[in-house]
Amino acid sequence: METVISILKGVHPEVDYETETGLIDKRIFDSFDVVNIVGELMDEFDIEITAEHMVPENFNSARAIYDLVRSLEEE
Amino acid sequence: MSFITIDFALFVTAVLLVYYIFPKKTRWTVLLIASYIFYGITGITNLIYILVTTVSAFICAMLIGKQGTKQKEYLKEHKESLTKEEKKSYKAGIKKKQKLILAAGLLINFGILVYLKYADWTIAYINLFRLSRFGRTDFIPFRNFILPLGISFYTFQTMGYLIDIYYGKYEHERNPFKFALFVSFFPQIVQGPISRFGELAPELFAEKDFDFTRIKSGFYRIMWGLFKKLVIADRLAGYVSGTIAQRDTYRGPYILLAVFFYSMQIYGDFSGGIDVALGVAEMFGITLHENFERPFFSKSISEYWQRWHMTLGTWFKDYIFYPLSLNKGIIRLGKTVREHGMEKIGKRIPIYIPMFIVWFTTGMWHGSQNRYVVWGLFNFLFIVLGTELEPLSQKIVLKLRLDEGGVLMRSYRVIKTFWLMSFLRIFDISKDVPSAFNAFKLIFKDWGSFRIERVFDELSLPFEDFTVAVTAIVIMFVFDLIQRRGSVRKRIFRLPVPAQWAILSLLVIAVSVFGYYGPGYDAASFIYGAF
Amino acid sequence: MRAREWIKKTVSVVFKIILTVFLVITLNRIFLPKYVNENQDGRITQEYYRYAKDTDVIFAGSSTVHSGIDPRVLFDEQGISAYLRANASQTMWISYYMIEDAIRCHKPELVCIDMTFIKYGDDFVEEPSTRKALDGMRMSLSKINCIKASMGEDEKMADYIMPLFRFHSRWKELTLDDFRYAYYNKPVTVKGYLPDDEVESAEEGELVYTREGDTSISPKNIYYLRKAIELCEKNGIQVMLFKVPAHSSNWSRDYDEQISAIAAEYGVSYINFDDLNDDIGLDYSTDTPDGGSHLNANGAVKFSSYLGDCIKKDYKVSDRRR
Repeated sequence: METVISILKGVHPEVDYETETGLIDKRIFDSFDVVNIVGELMDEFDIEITAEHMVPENFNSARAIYDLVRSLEEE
Repeated sequence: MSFITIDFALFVTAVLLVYYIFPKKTRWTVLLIASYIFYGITGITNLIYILVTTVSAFICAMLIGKQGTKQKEYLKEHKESLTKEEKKSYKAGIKKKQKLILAAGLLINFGILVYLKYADWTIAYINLFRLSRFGRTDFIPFRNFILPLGISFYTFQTMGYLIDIYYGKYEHERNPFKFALFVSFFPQIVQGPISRFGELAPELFAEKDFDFTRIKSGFYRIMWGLFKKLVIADRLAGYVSGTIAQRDTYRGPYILLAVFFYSMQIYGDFSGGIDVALGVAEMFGITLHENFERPFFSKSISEYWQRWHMTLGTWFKDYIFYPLSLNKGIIRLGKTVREHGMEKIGKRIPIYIPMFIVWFTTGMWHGSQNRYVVWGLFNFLFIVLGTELEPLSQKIVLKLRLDEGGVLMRSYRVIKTFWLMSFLRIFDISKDVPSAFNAFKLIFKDWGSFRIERVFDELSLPFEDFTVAVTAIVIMFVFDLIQRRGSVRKRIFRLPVPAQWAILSLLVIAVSVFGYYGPGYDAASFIYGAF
Repeated sequence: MRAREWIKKTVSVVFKIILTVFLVITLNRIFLPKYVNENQDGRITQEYYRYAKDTDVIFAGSSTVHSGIDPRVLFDEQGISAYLRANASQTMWISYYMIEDAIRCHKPELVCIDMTFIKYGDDFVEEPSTRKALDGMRMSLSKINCIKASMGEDEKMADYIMPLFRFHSRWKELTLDDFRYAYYNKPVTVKGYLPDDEVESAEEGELVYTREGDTSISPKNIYYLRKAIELCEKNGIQVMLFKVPAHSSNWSRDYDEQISAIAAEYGVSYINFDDLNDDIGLDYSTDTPDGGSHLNANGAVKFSSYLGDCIKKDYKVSDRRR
C-alpha cells in the first residue's frame, strides 16, 4: 500500500490518497496519468495489467489500485 | 442479398418460422444454417474465406486453451515442490507458446484481410517506385480482388475472440459449430456491429421463450432503420455525389450543403443499417451491442468516437491501443524521456504513439486509399489538439465568465464537433487527397452566386424531395433526443393500442411511400406511344 | 371466463388483420395511376369486369384493336355484345392470359385474336404497357402467370403484387382524382374502345409490305397463340384470327402464311383485313389518326360494320337486341 501511494504521489502530490475515492470520476487523473501510473505499477510489482483491467472502478482510489495489484500478484 | 430487399424480408420471415418451430435447445443450429445460406448466396468462394477464419481461429483458441489447462494442472500437481521462481519461469514458458499460437492465428487471418484489401494499393506503389526509379513501364497488373462480404467485420470479431482467449478472459468454445455461428451470425455480418464473444455467445445459445413483444419491437426497429436509410440517406446521395463531382460549377454553399447532407446520409445509412441488423437479431431474441449513441450530440471528437461505430472504437481501444499503451517497452521509453527532464513529452508518449497507430490503422480499415489514411491522421491531430488546448480553452471560458455546463457552451461544443467531423468526411467523398483539399477550399468561394432553386432543379434534389429529406432529418433528431430518456419503443408499447397502430402505420407508410427506391415514375413514359 | 378472453383476443386479432389489409389495399389503390384523364388505355383491363357477365365476344390484341373496333356498331348492327381486351403493345402472351382471365369470369361464345403484334420477338418488353395492361387485372393465378411471362429482367413480382412499390414516388404528383378514383371508377372506355378523332392522312399509294430481316414468328408468340386456340377449343369457344386493317408497310406476307398454317391446323380461319380494303371502304386520307398505323373513329365505324357482317356470317353469336 505504501508503495502504491508513493507512486501516486509521484504523479499528483497534492491529493489525499487515504480518503479520495473519485480519482477518475472527479477527473483528478487524466488518461495520461493513469497510463503512467500503470506503467510504474507494472515495473514495481512485476505484474501484467491489460485492457480488461482498464476500467474506472480499478483506479478510483488508492485502495482499489492496491486491490488490483494484489489480485494480479496472486495469479 | 442486401438488407433492403423483399428477398431478405422473405428470408428472415422463413428463418424466423423455422427458428421458433424448432425446440429451444436446437434453435441455434437454425441460425447457423441460415447464416451459411445467407453467406453462400453472396458467393461460394466467400464461404471458403469464412471457413478458413472459423477453423483457424477455432484451432488456435483450442491450442491456447490447452496450454492454459496444462499450466493449471502442472501447477496444481507440483504446488508444494515448486519455488516461486520456478513457477514463474514455467508460466513464462507457457505464455511464450501461447503467444506463438496467437501470432500464427493473427497472421493467417489479418494476412488474408490485408492481402485482399491492400494488394492493389501496394502494387500501385511498387509500380510508381519502379517507374520513378528505373523508368520501368512494365507495370505489375492489379489483382482486383473482390472482398468477401463483411470480411473486415468477421475477421475483427474473431480475432478479438482469439486475443481474449490469450488473455484468459474466458474459456474457449469447445463446439466448433457454435463457434461457427459466432463468426457468421447473419444479421451482423454485413456491416457489424462487431460483437464480443463474452456478450454474443450467451445471447446466441440462451434458450429463450418465444416472445411476441420482441418480434414487434424488432419490427419497429427495422422500420426505423429503413426510414433512416431509404427516406434520408438514399434521397441525399444523388445531391452529395453530384455536387462534389461538379464542384467547379457548384461551389461555396452548394458544397457546404453537400458536406452537411453527407453527414446525414452516412449516419442514416450506417446507423439505419445497424438498426435493421439489431432489429432482425431482436426478432430472434438476440440482443446485439449498440453501435451508435447519438454521435452528433458529442461535445468533443474523442467523445464522438465513443459514440459513433462504437464496437469498432472499443475494438481498437482494447486490442490495439491498450496492448501498445501498456506495453513495457513504450512505458519505459516514456519514463526515460521523463527522467531526462522532458516531463511533459514523456508523459504523453505512452498515449500518443499508440493513438497515432490506432488512427493510422482506422484510416486503413476504412479503405485502401491514401485519403483514408490522411483522414485518420487528421482525426488523430484534432484529438491531440483538443486535448492539448483544453487548459487554454478552460482559461478562456473562465475569463469570459461563460458557464461551461450551460446551453450556450454545450451547443457551441456540439456544433464545433459536428462540423469538424463533417469537414473531415470530405476525404470520404472525394476521389483523392488533393481533390479533397480542393473541395474544402472551394467551400469558401462564390457565396454570392448561390440560388437555392439550382439545388432543386439541377442537383437531383427537387423541392419536394428536399422538403421530405429535411423533415425526416428533423424527425430523426427529435427521436434521437427522446431516446436519450430511455427506449422510445418501450414508451410506444405503453400507449393505447390504437395509438400504437397509428404510429406503426405512419412509420410503414413513410418508409414505403417516401422511401427513395425503385425505378421512379416517369409519367411521360406511360403516355400511349407508338402502338 | 377463459372462453371470453379467448373470443376477445380473436376478435381483436381479426380486426387488426382486416384493418391492415384495408390500409394496404387503399394505399395501393391511391398510388396506382388512375388513367382517367390521360393514358385512358390503362383502364381497359379493369373495366372489363363491369361487363364480363354480358360479353359474348372477346377481342384480344394490341392498340390497333382498341382504336379500330367500335363495339357500339357491332351491337347496333348485329346485336353482338363485345369487349376489347386489347392494350397498347399487348403481346401474344398477355392476350392469352386476357382470354384465360375472361373465361374464368364468364365464358364467351367467340374469341377474336388480332395478329398485328405477332411480328415482335420473344424479348419484347415495354414496362409501362405491361403495367397498364396488368395493373387493372383482378388477382388470380392467371395474373401471376401473366406477370411472369411479361416481366422484364429488372422488374420484380413484388412490384406487381404491391403496385405501391412501383408507383410510390408518385407522392409528388398525387391529385384529388387519385383519392376520388381509388375505389369508385367512372367508365372511360366504350367497352375497351377508345375512339380517336384525330386525322393524319397516310401517304398516298398502294399498300406494300416492306418488313425485312427475319420474318419468322418467334417461338414464344407461336406457343401462346397455340395455347390460346387450344384453350378456346377445350372450352368450346369459337376462335377467329385476324389482323386489323392498317395502312402500314410494317408487315410481311411471311407472317400471313405462318399464321394461316397454324389456323388451318386447328380448323379456324385467319383474315388479314388489309386484303379486303376495297370492300370495307377505308380511306386512309381521312380514316387514320397517325398516318396509317391505326384507325380513327371514322375508320373504326367502317371497319366495325364490315367486321360485324363477317362475324354474323361465319360464327354463331347471340343477338342481344330484343
